[in-house]
Amino acid sequence: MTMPCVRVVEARCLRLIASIVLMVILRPYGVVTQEVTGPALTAAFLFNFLKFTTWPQDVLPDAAPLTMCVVNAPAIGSALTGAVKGRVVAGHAIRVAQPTDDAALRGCHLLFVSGPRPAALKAIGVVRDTPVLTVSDLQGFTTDGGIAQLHLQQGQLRFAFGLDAVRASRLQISSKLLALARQP
Amino acid sequence: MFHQMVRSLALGVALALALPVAAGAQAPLPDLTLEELMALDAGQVYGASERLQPVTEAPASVSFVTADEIARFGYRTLADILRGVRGMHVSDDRNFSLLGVRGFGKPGDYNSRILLLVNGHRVNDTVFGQAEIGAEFGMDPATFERVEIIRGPASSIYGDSAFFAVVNVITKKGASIGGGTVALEAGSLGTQMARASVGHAFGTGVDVAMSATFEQSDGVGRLYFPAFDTPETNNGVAENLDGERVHQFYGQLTYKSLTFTAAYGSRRRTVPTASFNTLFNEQQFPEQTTDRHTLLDAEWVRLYGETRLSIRGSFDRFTYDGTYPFAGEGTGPARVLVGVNSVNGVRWTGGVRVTRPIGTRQTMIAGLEYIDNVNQDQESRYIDPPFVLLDLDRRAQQTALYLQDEIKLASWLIGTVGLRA
Repeated sequence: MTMPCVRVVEARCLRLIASIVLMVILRPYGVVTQEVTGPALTAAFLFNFLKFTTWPQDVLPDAAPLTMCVVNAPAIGSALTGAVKGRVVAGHAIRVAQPTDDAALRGCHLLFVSGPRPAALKAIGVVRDTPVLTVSDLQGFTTDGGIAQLHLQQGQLRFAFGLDAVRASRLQISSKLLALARQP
Repeated sequence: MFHQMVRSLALGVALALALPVAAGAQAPLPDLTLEELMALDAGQVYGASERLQPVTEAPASVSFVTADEIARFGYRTLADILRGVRGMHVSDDRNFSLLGVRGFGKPGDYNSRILLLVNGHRVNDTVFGQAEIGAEFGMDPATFERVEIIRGPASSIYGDSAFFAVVNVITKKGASIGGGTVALEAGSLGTQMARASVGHAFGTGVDVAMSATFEQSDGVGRLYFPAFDTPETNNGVAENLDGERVHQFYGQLTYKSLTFTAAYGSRRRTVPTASFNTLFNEQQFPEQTTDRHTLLDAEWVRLYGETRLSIRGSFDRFTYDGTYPFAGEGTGPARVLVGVNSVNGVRWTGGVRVTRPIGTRQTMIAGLEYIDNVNQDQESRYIDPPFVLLDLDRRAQQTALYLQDEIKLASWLIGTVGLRA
């Protein structure tokens, strides 16, 4: 392109300037990097898991609220609270809890644990073989009795399932979700 | 007039729509499907640590630039990448690129207050301690998986230089290259580039990556410098003295927990600015600098539960040759007095590092490092008549024991205590 604005400011030139100004104003804010944070991405995965999981009627009756619990990961807890605000999955309103005792853990439908392995495994032990979808970013989580493990693969977030744990939990996990799973 | 406005509005809207937008960034994350979430570049938001440590829990202000962004923005040097990072500014004196952080940074300061790492290994040279970030860095951004920028001091873990920022370049594995690519480019200012990369992850736990780049540019043909605007100095015009020539090689071999990395880069730059009182627009013996970096690095990483153990050994070599034409006292061959500056820096490093979380709130890092700066040699001389101005051959060893504890005091406050002896 030649330089149309060099000589005189004329109508053509004004149009070009107006276009550029509009272009800048109307430009979507998405080009800014890093608006996606780690906790927000993890929270979005957890929220998506709900859509592909069916809980037995006795633990989650129709229209009953669904409880998502987060242990040892306050950043993910607050990201999740923001992510599920005002959202409903299959007629269930969603609550986010950060349980501290065993009774509260048993009330969870989905349980995300992180932090040091012993504390995480202790929390998982409480809800083992019950209809609680346990998720963690700890390595080897599925071999330690957990249901779903988040892991990074070539810079992208992936998940894997421990099928024995799925069967023992009485949860029905959609084949669509299982098809997307990748072993770490 | 109204029609014109409508037309310019339409053009503006069309241009706005045509601009590239980061994938999935428009919609809130929970509205995206799993497939869309899985396509997001999570390397951008998770650090290099094995656990998925969120950036928001890192003890400093951290930025990431991913391979995807490098490709999308067309960054050609590390300096280009850092120029696009908030709080950083890069200046270029047509010889070296100089980095400033959060407003600090003196031109000509050799970037010695910034620590430059390749896969966590220090590559500031052993003589000047400089972090070379332009083409002189010796590595092609096309081989970068990610660049991590950690602002603020981190000297207890990394030693000196880590004052304003730590810049960690994570290089690509074969799996990321995923096959072979050949790139040929030609551009304005006589720029040509050729690159060949190949990489593959074999099922046996072996991963191989290799890349070679050749690039040259003539630069700006006629550069005008008002300070030299006299008839004796070509009326202030430096002609055809802005060229650059670059060779870069990179290779990485991973077998299970063991990773070998090798890199070599050389850059020759012609300097048009007549710095250090050299002759302006000197065509016969132009001012030139050549920087070469060699890196060989072996690292073994093992996880014992939550504890991460890393053992590594590295070899670095940095050499520099500068040719400087000064005014001679005679005519003919004695018209120019050619000065040569040379640097030879060789360093061996060995170290062990243990990272371990303690409880839910603390992470402890401890390590031992031994550095043998085998050569820290500098020489300065004139060629004809031969005359040595400076000839230094130095050697220095360092042993360091370090400990750092990161304590999460509240969800909004993280304390870091470090000690290095």
